Amino acid sequence: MSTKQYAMVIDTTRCVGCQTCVVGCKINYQVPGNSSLCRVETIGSKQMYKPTGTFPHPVLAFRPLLCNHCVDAPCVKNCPTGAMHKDANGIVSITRDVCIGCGTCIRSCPYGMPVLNQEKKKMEKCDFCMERVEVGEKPYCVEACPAEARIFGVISDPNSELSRLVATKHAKPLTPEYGTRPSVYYI
Amino acid sequence: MTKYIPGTSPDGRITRRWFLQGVGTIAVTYSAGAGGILSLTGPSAQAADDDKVKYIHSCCTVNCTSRCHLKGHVKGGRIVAVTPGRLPGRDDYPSACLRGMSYAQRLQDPKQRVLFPMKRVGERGEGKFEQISWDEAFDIIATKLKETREKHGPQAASFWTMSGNLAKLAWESTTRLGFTFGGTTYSSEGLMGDHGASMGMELVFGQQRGGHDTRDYMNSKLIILWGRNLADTHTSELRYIIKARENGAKVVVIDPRQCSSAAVADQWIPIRPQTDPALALGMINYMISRNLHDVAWLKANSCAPLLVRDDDGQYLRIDSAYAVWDEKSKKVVPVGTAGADPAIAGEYVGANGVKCHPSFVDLAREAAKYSIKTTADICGLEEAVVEQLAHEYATMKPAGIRMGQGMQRVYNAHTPFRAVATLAAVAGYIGVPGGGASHMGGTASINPIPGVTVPDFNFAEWANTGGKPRIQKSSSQFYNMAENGEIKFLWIAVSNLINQSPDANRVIKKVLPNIPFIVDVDPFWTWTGKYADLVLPGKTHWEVWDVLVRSPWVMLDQPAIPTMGESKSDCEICTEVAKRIGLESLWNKTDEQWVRTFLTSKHPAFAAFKWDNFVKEGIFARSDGIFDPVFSFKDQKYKTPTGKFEFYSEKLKRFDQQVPTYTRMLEDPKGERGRKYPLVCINYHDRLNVHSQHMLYSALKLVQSEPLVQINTTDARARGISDGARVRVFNDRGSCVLKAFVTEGIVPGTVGIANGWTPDQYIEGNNQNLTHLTLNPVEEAISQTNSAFYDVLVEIQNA
Repeated sequence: MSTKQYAMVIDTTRCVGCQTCVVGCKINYQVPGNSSLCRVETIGSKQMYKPTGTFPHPVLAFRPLLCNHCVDAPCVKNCPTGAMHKDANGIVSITRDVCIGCGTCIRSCPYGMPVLNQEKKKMEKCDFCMERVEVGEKPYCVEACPAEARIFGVISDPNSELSRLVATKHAKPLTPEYGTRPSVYYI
Repeated sequence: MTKYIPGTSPDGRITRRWFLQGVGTIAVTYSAGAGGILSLTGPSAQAADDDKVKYIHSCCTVNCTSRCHLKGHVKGGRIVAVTPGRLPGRDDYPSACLRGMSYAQRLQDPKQRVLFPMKRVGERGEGKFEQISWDEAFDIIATKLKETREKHGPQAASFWTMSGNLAKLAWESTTRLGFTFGGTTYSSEGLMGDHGASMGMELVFGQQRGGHDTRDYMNSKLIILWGRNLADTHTSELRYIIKARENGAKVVVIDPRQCSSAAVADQWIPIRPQTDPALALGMINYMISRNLHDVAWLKANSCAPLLVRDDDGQYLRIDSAYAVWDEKSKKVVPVGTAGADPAIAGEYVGANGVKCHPSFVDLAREAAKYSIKTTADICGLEEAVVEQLAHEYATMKPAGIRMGQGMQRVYNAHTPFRAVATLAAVAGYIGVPGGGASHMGGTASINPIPGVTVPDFNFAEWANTGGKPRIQKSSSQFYNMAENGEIKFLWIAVSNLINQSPDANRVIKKVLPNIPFIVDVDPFWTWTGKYADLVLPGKTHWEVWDVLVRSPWVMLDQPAIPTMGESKSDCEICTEVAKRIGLESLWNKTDEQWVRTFLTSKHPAFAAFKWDNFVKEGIFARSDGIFDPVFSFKDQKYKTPTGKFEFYSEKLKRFDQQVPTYTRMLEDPKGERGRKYPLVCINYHDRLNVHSQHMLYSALKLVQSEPLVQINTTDARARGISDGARVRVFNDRGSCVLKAFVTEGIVPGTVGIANGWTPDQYIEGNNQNLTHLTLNPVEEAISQTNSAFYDVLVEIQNA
């Protein structure tokens, strides 16, 4: 069990659904085809950009989704090769050399976040831009968000900026009843 | 999307034929051994051992208003990632949107690029081209220019640009070549549809731009995004609207579409298109009739007290001075008379028995036509919504309005900005913190240094046209000129002319066929390129030496990747042509030399400027820069004829538009034409693209892969149209076929197709088949007609 846990707070009241996070991540990690490591959904709606409610008072709101870097990550538990692992910094990541692309992680993840890289036949997932984070940079999606809707930090330290934000804004994980203890919190 | 079919030519040499379906079908034949082809697939040999990431900066020069400083992550001769660049003095401001980041993908895709000089071999529009050498291309152009000059005079050669690249050399080279040749250039804002805003601003403020830094809305109680989908079209500013809202301001979006910005607003006001002036007048009337208008501000800073003659509607003058009625002395006195208390209501008699009245009387009388009920009826809103908006605007002081070009792509395009800005003036919100009626939100952001007269940039040599006059005509006249046979040669650069101009069928069938020779310079294959005789491979802002001035910053473009094919910058192409037509003395520098020359000023703001640092950082912040939020008209000085905020224009009296008025749209759904074509079709600007740029790359397909027509559920149901159905949108000018997006987020009676999608992305046709260019006499009298892209009626049926 890791003692440090990186985490993200996403303020959906700031999100305009532009998908700069999605596109920035996809380009910068050269994710092929129609896959992406994160996505955005229109809250309450089955179809992107379609509001709920009726004219003249429809409601339009968005929620970005990415790997939750769960404390009890089922993808890690169920990975048959050990390619998926929880790192010391709390990030759930893949050792690609070991991954066989079997898709068990997709089936295990209640949030459906890992994707298969069709070209490499390996799983891909968000690793909170670990390489960038380790040298003090922000994840691409955080740096790119024009609305500053994403805040990255450390939740294992109760005095961190992020921990305080979670407390004051009552940020909550998505569907906590899945019981995986996600590290992404929503306002 | 793009098929690549290598083949063999009859002489056994390998040729490469590309079928570019990106713009309909284009078949281009590239000859073998073309040096650049090796660089098509990516890194050149020298780049292969360069697998460490290095950072090269650029300025995003597409015309979205933001002009972001970008940080390119370059590895092995390729841009592998793009992140926001730092803006010195503004740590809060780095920005790069999905468009700016994905642009780097597109420009490195050889299948999207024009790689070599290409000569048309089929019919115009057929899309058959073959590769020629640069020398041959330059010789053809030079010969055509000389022929045109000899037979028809130099003005018969036209040099057309739009806003495809806003960097100095890219944007201006073609125009400068036109000037130095003595040819005709165009003020493109009219045809492209941004000029109504400029005219509206000019009328009331005396300048075409101006407004509040978005950060200034931290001082606002209410923020109205009026026809401005800032989230998608000025993305770098979005965070400040959000902060202002979190600071307690109410954010209202006025738009026929529930646009992205509405997702972070407190209220969406679903206005019927083209009725914005009526809403503004209704709000003005609400304020005046409830005494909520700012009389003191109007008296001091606007034309409100200036007397207008009853007989001819011109301002009354005492000698050359404008006149007011002084309530204290009970007589007509020159404006500015010490101690005078000017009236803004009443009827008076001046010298020689001239009957007159303050100009505010005309405004109040015009506004009085717009009761809450009338306004609500015209705008398609609930009365309570209009009343609440008017009340909140008047009482939540101060309130700031950010205006957008969405509302001015209509017939009488000068009116929307004029009317909305007048509303802000009546409330006394112009030139005060947190207020304003802003266009773009940009404003001068340098402090002039007293006593410094040396220019800040050394543009003198670039500005030298060799003594030739700078001939610039209204772009609104371009179609007529071509159809009248006045254009014998046309050079198109930084413009996808057909895709971004109204009435594509007219352009293709009448305008372009009357132009004997057309050369198109573009980094990408476009719809316009298909109709050119020569298509020359241009470069993008990641491949050239260029500079963009965005005060208080100066930003640099520099080559980040090896040359794609044989592409050249616009300036390099113009320089080579200039050499062949006797203009070499005016075109005697490389692009890098020009950029270096521009930055050799002795202006003290550049004392710390060092070229090597500029190359490394890609940006320089002037020492005289203002980095705190600023706003226009703080000094209440206006460059209008009266020197005041001028809602009353005496020159528009002859059109009975001396004050802002609302007139029904040209294509009125309630008029005769509306019986056949009952739906208003707007052509909004979206998250995916700026005009026709950014289209077609894989990363963006994730967001949306094809054009859609947004239609309200009610309208769709009435026509049996279901979500995702193929539909034909049509009127008597043409049609297009695309899929329907059935939504509650658009005003009934209105449909919306995003601007910029090109014909190959449609199932059939293009939205510009529906639009029109109708010259407007008032706009022509002010300046030039603005394309009324949103003043278009259509009908829709399942296809």
